[in-house]
Amino acid sequence: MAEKLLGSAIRRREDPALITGRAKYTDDLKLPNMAYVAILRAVLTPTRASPAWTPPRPKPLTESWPSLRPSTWPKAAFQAKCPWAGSCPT
Amino acid sequence: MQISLTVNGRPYTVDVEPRMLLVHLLRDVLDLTGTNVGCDTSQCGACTVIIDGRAVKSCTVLAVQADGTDILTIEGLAKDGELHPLQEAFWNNHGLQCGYCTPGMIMTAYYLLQTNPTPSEEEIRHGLEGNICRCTGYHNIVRAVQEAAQRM
Repeated sequence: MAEKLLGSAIRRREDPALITGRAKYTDDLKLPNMAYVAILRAVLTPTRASPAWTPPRPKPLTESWPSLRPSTWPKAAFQAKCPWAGSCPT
Repeated sequence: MQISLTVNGRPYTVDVEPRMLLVHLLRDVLDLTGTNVGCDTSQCGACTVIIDGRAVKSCTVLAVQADGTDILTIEGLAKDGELHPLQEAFWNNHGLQCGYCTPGMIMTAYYLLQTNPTPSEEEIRHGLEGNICRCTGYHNIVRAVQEAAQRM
């Protein structure tokens, strides 16, 4: 006789990976030449990270992975993220 | 610094920086990514593993402190393809949704049932206090631990 399906709880297909530690989350990804990015934001909420000051340049992992500064960000991308509609320092 | 430890029955000798946390040794060096980092502030319990029989948040322990210990992680719980009763019970009782807290929940529950094989509902809730789940509301996790306690 067929098992009752409607109205009964079913065992989820995704659970075996999740309960054995085999599931992969974003933090588990390892890709060739993968690098980590840290973003320094203004320390106080109403202030802005000043373009006149840039953090000490961290040692790049390789020559092909330089550290980025606000002055090197694409303007359009920076303005799209700006909560003050264009009045952010460029 | 060179340390030796056993993880899930397998011996390892590794070179680690003195400042490396145990959870990063497990995840980044030994590639055991089942142990998750949920908060970075030792509140959430997602990184819980068993060190020498005790449940410990592996983000509160330096890797060098684990020198000479025997560690059990979520990857070592199933034996010969057979799920541990706790894993079965979490599956049966919908004790997870996104599953991120689950490895830590299961390891803490494992320690709880080792020390108290027949816990009351209150004792289960108290035992899991150091583990945060944002999906389930805990009811089904408690049911899962109750079912596992009966089966173990």
